[in-house]
Amino acid sequence: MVGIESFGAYVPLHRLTFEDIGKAWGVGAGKGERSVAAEDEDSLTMAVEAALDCMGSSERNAIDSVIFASTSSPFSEKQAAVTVGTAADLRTDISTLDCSGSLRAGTGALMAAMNSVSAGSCGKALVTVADCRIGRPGTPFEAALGDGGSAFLIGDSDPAVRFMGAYSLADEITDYWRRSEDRYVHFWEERFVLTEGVSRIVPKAVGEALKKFDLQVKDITTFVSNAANERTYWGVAKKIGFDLARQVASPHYSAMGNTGAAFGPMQLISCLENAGPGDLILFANYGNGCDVLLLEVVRDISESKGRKGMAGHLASRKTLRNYNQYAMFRGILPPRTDRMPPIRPPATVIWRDQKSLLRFHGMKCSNCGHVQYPIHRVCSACSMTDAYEEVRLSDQTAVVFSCTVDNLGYGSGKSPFWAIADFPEVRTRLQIADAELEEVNVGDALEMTFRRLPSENDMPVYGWKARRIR
Amino acid sequence: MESIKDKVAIVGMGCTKFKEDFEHSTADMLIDAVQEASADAGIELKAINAAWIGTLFGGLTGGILSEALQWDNVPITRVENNCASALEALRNGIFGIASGAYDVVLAVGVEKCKDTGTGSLTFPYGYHPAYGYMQAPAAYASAAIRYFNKYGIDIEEGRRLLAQIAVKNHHNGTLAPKAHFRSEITIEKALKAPIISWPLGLFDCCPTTDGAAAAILVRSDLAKKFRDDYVLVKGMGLAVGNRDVYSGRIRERENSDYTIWNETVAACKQAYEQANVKDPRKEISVASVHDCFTITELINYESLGFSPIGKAKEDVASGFFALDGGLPVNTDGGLKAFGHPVGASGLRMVYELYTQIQGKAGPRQVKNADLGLAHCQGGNPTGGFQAAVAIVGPRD
Repeated sequence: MVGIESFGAYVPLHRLTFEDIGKAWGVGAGKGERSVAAEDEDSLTMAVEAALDCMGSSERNAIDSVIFASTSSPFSEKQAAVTVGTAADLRTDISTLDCSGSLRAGTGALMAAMNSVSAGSCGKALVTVADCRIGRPGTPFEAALGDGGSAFLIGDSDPAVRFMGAYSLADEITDYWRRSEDRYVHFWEERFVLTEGVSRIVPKAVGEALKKFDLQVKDITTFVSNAANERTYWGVAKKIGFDLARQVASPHYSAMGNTGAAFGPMQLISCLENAGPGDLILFANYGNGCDVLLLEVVRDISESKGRKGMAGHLASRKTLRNYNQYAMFRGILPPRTDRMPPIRPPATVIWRDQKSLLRFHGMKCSNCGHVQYPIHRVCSACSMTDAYEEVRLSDQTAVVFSCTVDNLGYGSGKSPFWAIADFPEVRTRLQIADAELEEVNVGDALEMTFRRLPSENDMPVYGWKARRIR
Repeated sequence: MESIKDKVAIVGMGCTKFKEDFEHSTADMLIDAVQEASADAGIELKAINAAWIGTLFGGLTGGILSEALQWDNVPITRVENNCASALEALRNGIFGIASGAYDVVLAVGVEKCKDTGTGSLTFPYGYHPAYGYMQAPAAYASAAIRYFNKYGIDIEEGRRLLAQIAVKNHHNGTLAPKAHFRSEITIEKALKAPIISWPLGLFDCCPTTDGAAAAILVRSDLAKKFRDDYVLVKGMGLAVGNRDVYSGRIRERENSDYTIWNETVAACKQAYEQANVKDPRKEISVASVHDCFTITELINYESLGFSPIGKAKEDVASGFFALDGGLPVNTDGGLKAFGHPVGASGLRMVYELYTQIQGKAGPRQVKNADLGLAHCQGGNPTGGFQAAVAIVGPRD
């Protein structure tokens, strides 16, 4: 039986309060906050983080397929899924696929993975869904959006969450859109968008789905969905006839914002984290139509949970100092002018050194056992050449040996925060993400995080940094 | 292996005024430094048989120098070993003389930091594009954190300790007419200055400077023809660590904890053996050591054998390295106050030792200047060094 073997999520550390957004524009604001991806994060890096949360210590070589779903891939051309698979240190004889263009890209990806496992064409599939959309500055949409990611390992080895069925409805409507050259999300007048979009289509799709599954509204333990805002989310559930207090998963609009294509899947993960055996979950995911998935929890979920999951990530948070910090992170304000030589990593080097850079492999000398990073043909301890095995560092923790922020240093307009970090077997140099100097001390533990590295080459470059353990 | 001791003499030296020299080009500075050196030696430029030029980003090939001087067909070699580039030019020039291949050799170093457009040091040849861009301030700050941690020095106490080195070097700079900075500072001023890379503040960091320095070398048995007060080369050391700051490969823990500069230890050992120096603390009478940061100078006291390991703090407190101390260090202000045009600094150091040994250092003259030591280290503590040491002394 196909289903979800494990799941994980990622919410970036930073939050921006609605109050600070209101202050920036001189308008009133409600209570709550939204998640904000840091300056070195995007949908691809968040997908990797969610994948790591999902995989935990499970056998990565068992994964045969990776799907990356997002409306905000850093690339219109160049696959993100293959980078996710490389950073996640998966095999290379796997299928990879990007799903894009719709807020329901994630359920499309989940259905494709489940169908593919059911058909026997793949053993286990890793589905990642992440989004980092930007609302036009000064509009309510800016505050309403959030950034985050989710990941699911789909397989048929006795999953705790079984896939019971799916129903899809396609609906032609121009409610939300972004042309490839657009930075901010466009949408038509709100009354039309909400009335004829989500509020009409989701109830219709759910009704048809229940008919197909031969179920009634009352049979569903929990209903999970997505919508542009919280009022509509509840309104849609009410319109279908769910008991709002008992049957509808509470949404995270005021804790992380609307995380686009990742919102529904992240809500599903929150729901699963609190689910028990026998629960029947109906997941409706809207976006130019609607996908409806029926899931059944067949046994205790605890082994399938991500390492931190939604609950852990939502609890681990840091408030941004002000709106300007968010605006710098998203490139809404221009970066400081750098007179330093531009950082232009050649694609050749990234390609040649990808085992060290993307897979974060060091080497262990086959002769003397000495470990070093990055991979080098000659062992620095015994000088043996070309005799080593690779060791993965991305899932290890390290300890700060020394650290400092270089205020004159350069890289993407931000002063680099450097650490000399001791892994159990090797010392290396890493940048620290998501932290100020006063938050990190010698002896502190660090965990690894996948980020965008400085590059002024019209070419995003990815690699590993360290962060305080969340 | 033979020692280089007493085989080569320095008979003329020149050094430009170190400053932010927006008016003059690399060629202008080379012309000034070389002409001063040749005038000092009392020779014409055409008497020079060969030249070595050290520079990090002053240009490529020996053409930098031949174009400046409008020389044709002179054998000129450009050398580069990061901040040790000038001592590398000197070292190669010394070997050119010692081999008997040449009678008169020019060693020159130059850098034009202020054409880069930044207040920080840039490396156009680039760090490894992917493994990181940890520049010198962060790397040396990391070492300061480790030094304080290892010896139980409270961070504020540590910053005060480092400030004392900055105050000393700024004071010495006021006595050196060609120094970049010629103003006194106080410990309080140093402590209140903006932080560059914690715990290092502005006055813990040397400036980026424009300048050039040059030396005329001859076989020691010919030196008397040029002048009576020539200076003899007593020893040269060079050690290049097995980590390359540009490659992003940093040393592992068993190699170093950043509180001792291994390559400097190795380089000075070579030089001390050649010069037959057994106890540098007693036998070296004046030293110019690499002080790109105050922490660099502090750790160099120990790495060069001037202070026992972990005890430099006590020598700083007692003023042992001040002008009137037991071993005056950076008598012209060092990189901190005299300035740091990367490829020129090593020869600027030798220029100061040469001046001190000749007794011409004026108000900063040390007593009984005998053996002088110049030390440069390129690279940084988290990425390996290229460390060079030159020991010079008076004739006879």
